Amino acid sequence: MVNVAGAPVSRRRHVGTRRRSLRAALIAALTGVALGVAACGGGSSGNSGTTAPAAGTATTTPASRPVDTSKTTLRFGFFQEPPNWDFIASDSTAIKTIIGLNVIETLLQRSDDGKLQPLLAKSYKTGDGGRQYELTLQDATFQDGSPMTSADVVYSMDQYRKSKNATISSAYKGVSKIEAVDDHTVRVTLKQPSNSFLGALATEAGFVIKKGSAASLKTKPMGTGPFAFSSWRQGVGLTLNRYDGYWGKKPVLKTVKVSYITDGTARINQLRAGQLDLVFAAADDLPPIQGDPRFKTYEYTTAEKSYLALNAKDPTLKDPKLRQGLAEAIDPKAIIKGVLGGLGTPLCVLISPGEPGYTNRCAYSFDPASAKELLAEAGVKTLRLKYISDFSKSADVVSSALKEVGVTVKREPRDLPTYLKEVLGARPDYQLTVLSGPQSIDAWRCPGWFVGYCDKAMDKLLDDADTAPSPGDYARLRQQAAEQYAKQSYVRVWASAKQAVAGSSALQGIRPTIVPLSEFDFRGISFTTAGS
Amino acid sequence: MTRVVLRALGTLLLSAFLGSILLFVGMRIIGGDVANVMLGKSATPAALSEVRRQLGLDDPWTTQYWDWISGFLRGDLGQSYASGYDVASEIARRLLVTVPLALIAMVVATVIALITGTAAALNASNRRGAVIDAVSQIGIAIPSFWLGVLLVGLVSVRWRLLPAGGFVSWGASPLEALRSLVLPAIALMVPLAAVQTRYVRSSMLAVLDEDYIRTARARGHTMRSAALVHGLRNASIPIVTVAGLQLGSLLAGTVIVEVVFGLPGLGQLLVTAVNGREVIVVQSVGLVLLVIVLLLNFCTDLLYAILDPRLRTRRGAEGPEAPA
Repeated sequence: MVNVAGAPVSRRRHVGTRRRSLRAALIAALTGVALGVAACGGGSSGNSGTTAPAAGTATTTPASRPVDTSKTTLRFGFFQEPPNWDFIASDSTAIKTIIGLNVIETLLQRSDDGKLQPLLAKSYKTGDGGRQYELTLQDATFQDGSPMTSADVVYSMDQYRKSKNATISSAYKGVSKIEAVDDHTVRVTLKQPSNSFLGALATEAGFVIKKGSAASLKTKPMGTGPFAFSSWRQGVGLTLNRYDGYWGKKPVLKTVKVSYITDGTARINQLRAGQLDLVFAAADDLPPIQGDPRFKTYEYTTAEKSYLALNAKDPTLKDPKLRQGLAEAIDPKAIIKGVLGGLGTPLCVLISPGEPGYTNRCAYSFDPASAKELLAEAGVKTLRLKYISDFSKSADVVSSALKEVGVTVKREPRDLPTYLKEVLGARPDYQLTVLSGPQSIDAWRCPGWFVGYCDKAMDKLLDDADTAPSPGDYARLRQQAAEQYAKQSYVRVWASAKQAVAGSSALQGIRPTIVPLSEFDFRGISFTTAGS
Repeated sequence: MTRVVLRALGTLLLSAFLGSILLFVGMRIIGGDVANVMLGKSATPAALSEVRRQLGLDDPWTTQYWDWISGFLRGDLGQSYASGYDVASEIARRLLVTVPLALIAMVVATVIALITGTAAALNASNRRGAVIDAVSQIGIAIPSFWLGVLLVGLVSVRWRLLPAGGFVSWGASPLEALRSLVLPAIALMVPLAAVQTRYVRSSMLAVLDEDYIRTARARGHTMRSAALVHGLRNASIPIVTVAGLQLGSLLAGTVIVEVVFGLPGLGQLLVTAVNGREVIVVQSVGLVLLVIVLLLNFCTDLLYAILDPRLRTRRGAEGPEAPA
């Protein structure tokens, strides 16, 4: 071969040149394909806002802004998927959060300020000195179109009475008879008057399911709510579609797509990338979106209470001065700041804000000097703290606080199933533990649940509250019961946890509370035209 | 060759049996059970006993093992206690996420490693080789999940080029499914490619010292073309072993990346099942993964024997000094 000047060109060099050209072309082609795959797949599907609003947009949502009727799909990121949807067998909060009030409705519901309001029971009357409740039902239909009747309510209540899930069956402990008076009236007869019975009808114990449908709850829960449970892909998410035959005010949203994403950072990233509109968030997840006018954080009150529990069967902890010392050693503000990331309010009793009997009075306040003295008197140098590994921040706060007052904490982290068995099982094996939960004071009635402390005086106060003649007396006596128990310091409550959700600032209608059902209420949520 | 096949098969079957025992016993000694998880915090001892009885959790271990393994051998991998889904169907669905993810990561990593490892070997005594070495060291040190988070922050959130997570099924949109796997595959591929680069480099350096490379040079080949044309096949023998082992561990090890990207893969299923003490799901998924890894090792052994004829005979396997 020769070049243009006629000089011979080595064949090897010519081959090398051609190979370099081919390689360059291949690299260019691959790069082009990669960019094409990235670009031509399109942006995220759905209806997230893609235009950033002007800086300085108000961060508080006005009471009601114009609704954007073109955006009717809400893409919601949640962290915990239940193994199934059978709320009768399991008291998993993850079930109630999604289906509560959205898919399956209760007979009564609580307003944002804690008052009982009608829902499926449009009215009720009491009789026989408070031993009988007669509930008149709405003209509602289930999501398969069949009418809801008193037979469905009787069926539902019978299922809950027989359930091995104590959270739901305890509501019916005092019930002697449930009967359908006619198609739209149900009569419940109690062994004795009970103020708590009506309140229970605003919880899962008041859910109404279709007669005969209990067996299908696991995979296809159905109720009278404004959203039908359309599809569920385990490990991925589920879809709720608006039920157009809903008896009440139809929601603006037509579809809710729930995605289960366990990692908080992943949820926030998908929110920021425009794949989701609203996500559950922990305090640690929020910094990337703070200050970004496209997003807003909403906080709401929950029934979740954070506390330190002591094993009453452990002889070391029988000394009330020791328990008082432990109660005074730990600053609730440290828990709210260090564990809850600021998402909480101080609380000292096992009754949440918004529930009858709530008080913000405390038997003991943070007093490390007094705590040090009491613990030194008790002569305790080391205590064991068993906890779920997710609660390591709480364990950090407890360990360092007790170290300040001269007590070394031996930490025993456990994964959830092991913890459930060792601490909440038949033979609790722990000394101290940190936990949180929505259970209120009633869960600690004798024999005292996993703490094992039976306070008969408290039980008497709760019984008196239940049969009290007025709601005011009911609340007052429950408060006394909760304070009575708090004084013993077997359960030292620190805070009422708040939950944060982060989402598009174009959303409105997110309720400020999820007490008592732990539901996340999609019914009133809509997208607005302003701030999109 | 028959000897090689029979030996590999025997190892596979024995390993699978021992692995099944380990899985079965392991899930029973870690504490807690699915009844606790299903019934939650408020479960009464009576309720827990009843659920355990219904699920057969209080049967003797030998009965439980036989029920499980005999069903497995018949193709019935059991059902989830809590949710009731069929384990075999669920595994099949999740393999459609995990296998493509692992394969894409492995294939791309191997191709990159062959290129960069060869380049590193050819430039072992100059700056270019040193740069490749340094970059591969960094690649080995980078954790996959950290890289994943970084990629999401840049590519998904800032540039909005690819999804931040989730998975669109192949049936709904193959293109979107592929887009869902790009970033996770890159997160997995980088440390893999870095490790393999080191292997290719070492292997190629050894090959470049061989007589036949010198002969090829004498016949007019450049060092590069001698390496690629004559040396690469021999240098790739150890890579086959490494890639086979890595693919097996990739299938089970995608779990962290699946969590970061919210992918409904096999790793995520395994973690959820362990946390929920779903013994049947963990055992069946674990055994499926174990069998896949063993099969990959089996294929690697066969491929090894195909690539290197010396391994097909007993004399060849024992080495050049072995008596005739």
